[in-house]
Amino acid sequence: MSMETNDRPVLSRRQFLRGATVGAAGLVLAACGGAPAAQAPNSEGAAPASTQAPAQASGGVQRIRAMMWLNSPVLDENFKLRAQQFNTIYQGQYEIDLQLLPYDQYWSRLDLAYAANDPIDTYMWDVQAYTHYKSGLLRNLQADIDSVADFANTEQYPLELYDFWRFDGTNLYGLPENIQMMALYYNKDIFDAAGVAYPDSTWTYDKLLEVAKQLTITEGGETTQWGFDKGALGAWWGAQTFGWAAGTAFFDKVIEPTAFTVSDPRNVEGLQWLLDTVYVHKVSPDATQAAAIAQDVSLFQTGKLAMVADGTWYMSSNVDSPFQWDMAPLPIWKDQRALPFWFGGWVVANASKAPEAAIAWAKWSATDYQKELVTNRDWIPIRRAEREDPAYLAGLPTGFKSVVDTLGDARIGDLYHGKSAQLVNEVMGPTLGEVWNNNVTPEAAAADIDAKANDLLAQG
Amino acid sequence: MQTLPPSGKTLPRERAVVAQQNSRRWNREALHAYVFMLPAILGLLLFTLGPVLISLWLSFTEYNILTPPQWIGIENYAQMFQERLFWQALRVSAIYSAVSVPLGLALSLGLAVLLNHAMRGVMIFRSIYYMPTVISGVGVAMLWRWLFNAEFGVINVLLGNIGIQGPAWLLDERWALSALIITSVWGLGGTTLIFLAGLQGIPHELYEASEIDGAGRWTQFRRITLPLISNVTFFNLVLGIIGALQVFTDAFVITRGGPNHATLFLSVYLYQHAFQYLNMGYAAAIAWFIFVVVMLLTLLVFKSSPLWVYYENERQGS
Repeated sequence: MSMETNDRPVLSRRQFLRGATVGAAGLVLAACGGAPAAQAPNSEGAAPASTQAPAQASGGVQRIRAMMWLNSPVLDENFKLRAQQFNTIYQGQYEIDLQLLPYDQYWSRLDLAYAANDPIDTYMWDVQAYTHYKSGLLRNLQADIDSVADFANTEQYPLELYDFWRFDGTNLYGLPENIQMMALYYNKDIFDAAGVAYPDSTWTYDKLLEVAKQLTITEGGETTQWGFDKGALGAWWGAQTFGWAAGTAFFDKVIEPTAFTVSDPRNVEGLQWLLDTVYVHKVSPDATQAAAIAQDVSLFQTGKLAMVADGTWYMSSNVDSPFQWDMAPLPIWKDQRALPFWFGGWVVANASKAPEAAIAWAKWSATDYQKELVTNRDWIPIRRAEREDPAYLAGLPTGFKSVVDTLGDARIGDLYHGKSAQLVNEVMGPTLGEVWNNNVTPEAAAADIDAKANDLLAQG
Repeated sequence: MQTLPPSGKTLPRERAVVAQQNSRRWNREALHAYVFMLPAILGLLLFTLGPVLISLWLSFTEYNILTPPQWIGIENYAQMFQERLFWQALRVSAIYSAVSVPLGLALSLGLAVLLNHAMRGVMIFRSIYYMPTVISGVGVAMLWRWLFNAEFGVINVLLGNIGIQGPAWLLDERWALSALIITSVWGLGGTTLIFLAGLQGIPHELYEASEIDGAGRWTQFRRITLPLISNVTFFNLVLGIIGALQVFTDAFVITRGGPNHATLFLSVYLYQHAFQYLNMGYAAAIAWFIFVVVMLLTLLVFKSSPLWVYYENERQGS
C-alpha cells in the first residue's frame, strides 16, 4: 500500500487550466460563430432565397425592427408617431419596432446586427449603407417596386433621379421616400435694413458677391455683420457644385469612381472663389471669426450673417430664429445652376425574417404616408402631389417652391465606393479644411486630393 | 521511537488512514479553490486572452464584420508600412510621447516636492492637484476645447493681456499637438501622488546628515532625493510610456485627429479604421503594432534600469 491511498483522480492545476481554456475557447467560438452568410449583390431583380425565410410570426403578425438616426425632438417624435400609425393601420398583420439612435451609434448598431446574423429588418439609407450593398446584405427591391403601378408614374416620382441609386445599373436597393437639396438662406431683416432686393432664382454668384459686399458692415476695423458664409458649400459635395456647373466634377462617376479630377481648373476656380470671399473680399468670416460669433448656435442664427448656403434640412433649425428669414435657389455659376440632392429612403436587409412587413413599411412611407409629410413639414415628400401641395407649401418659407423647382439641376451629392469614408475623412475633408483655413492654395490642395484619392482608389 | 518499515512493506494502518484523510481534505480544498478561481480564470480567458488571440488572428485577415474574415497573410502589416497616414500617426504618437512623458514626469516631481513640504493647507493643495485625475476624460477634453478657442478661449485671452497674440491652437496644424500635450500635463495628479509617496519614504536622517556635511538643497535633491525615488520614477516612466502611446480621448474629442491629421494618434488611426471604415483586420494589425512598440519600449526601460534605478536591497546584497 502506498502513501497515495485515495484512488479517485486528483485534479491537477494543469488539468484545471487546460479544462478552463478549452471551455472558454468553446464559448468564444460559439459566440463568434454567427458570421452572416453574405451574398453577392443580386442583379437579377428577383428576391434572393434568404428573403423567403419564415416571418417572425406570432399569431399571424409579422414583427420587424426598423432603425432611424436621431435628428431633433420634433422629427424624432414624428418618426415614433409614424411607426404607431403603421402599427394601427396594419394591426394584426405587421408590427414595427422603430429604434432611434444617434447617427454614429446608428451605423455601429446596424453593422453589429449584421455581424451577429440578426440584421435590422429595415433602416434609413445613407451613404454608409453602400458598404452593406457591396457586401450583398441589402435586398434588391426592384421587383417589389415594380409591383406598385404608382411607382412607375414619372409625373409623381422623380424616376430620372432614381438612376443614381441603381448601384448595379438596373435595380433599386432602397425605396426613396423624401428628398433633400441645397439652398441659399438669407436674413430678410438685414436685406430690408439695407434696402437690398432679396435673392431669387436669377442670381449668379457674382451678384451674390456684390450684395454680400453691400451687406458686410465693418466698424472700427471689426466686422459686425457678414454678407455671406459658404456654410455647406465648404463640404466636398458643396464645393463640387461649382465644378458641376462648369462641366466637370471631383471624380469621374458617382458609383465606383475610378479617377479623381479635383485639380481640373474648373473645380479649382470654384474653390478659389469660395476662399476669396473670406480672404480677398472679406465678406465671409474665417473659421476663428465664425467660432467667435457663433458659440451655441449656427452663424446664421446669430442674426449677424446675411446669407448662407445649406441643405433644406436646415429649415427646421431656423424655425425659432428671432428674425425674418427665407430661402432661394443656389446661385448660377458659369451660366449654369448645379446643386446636390439626397434621397431619404428605406433599405431592407436580405436576411430579414419578415421581408414582407419591411417592404410594406417602405412602400407605405413612399405612398400613403406622404400626406403626413405635408402636415409635419419635416421632410420634403418624394411624391410630387404632396411636394407641390399648397397646404404643404403654405407652412414653408416663401422661397421654398423656387428651391424645389431647381431639382432638375440637381445631382446626387454622394460618392459610392467601398472606400468612400476614407476618401472623405482622410483625403477630401482634411485637405479642404486646410484650404478654408488658408494654409494651402486651392491648386495645391486639389492636386493633393487627386494624388491621395487616386492612390486609395488604386488599392481597390 | 518508531522506525520506518523495510522497503516494500506496507505502512502501519493508522498512518495510511491519516494519509487518506489528508488526501481527501486536500482534494476538497483544491476543488473549492479551483471553483473560486474559476470565474476569474474564465474571465481572463474569455474577455482578455481570447479576444487578444482572436485579434492576432484577425490581423492576418480582411474583415469588415459584415462578411466572414478572409485570410490574407501579412498583407495588413505590409499595407500598414506603406500607408502615409500610418507614418503620420506614428510620428504624432512618437512626438507626443517624447515630449509629454518627460515633461509630465518633471512637472509631477516638481509638484510633489512642493506638496511634500509641511505647510498650512497642504492637504487641500494635494486634493486640488489630484482632482483632474478623477474627472471624466470626455468632460475634461470638452473643457480644454473651450479653453483653447482662438478668439474667446481663456488661454488666448490671458496671452492677449500680456501682449501676446495667441495662436489658433486647435485650428492650426502647427499648434494642435502642442495643445494636446498641454492638456496631458494638466492631468498629472496621479503621477504626482505616486512621487509624493516615494518622497515621503525617504528617511529624514539622510537629509540631516547631508546638511551636516554641508550639502545644499540642490545637492540634496540630486544626490539623495532623485536616487531614492528612482524606482518610483521608473514606475511612472513605464506607465507614462504606455499611457502616451495609447492616448485617445483627448485627441478624439478635442480635435478628432485634425487639423489635417496633425493630431492623428495611432489609437485614433486605429479607431477610424476599425469603426469608421470597418477595416477590422487592418485595425487589429495596428493594435498589434502598438503592442509591440509598447513592449519594446518597456523592455528598453527595464533593461536600462540597472543603470539609473536604485534599489536599496540590491545595494545591501552587493
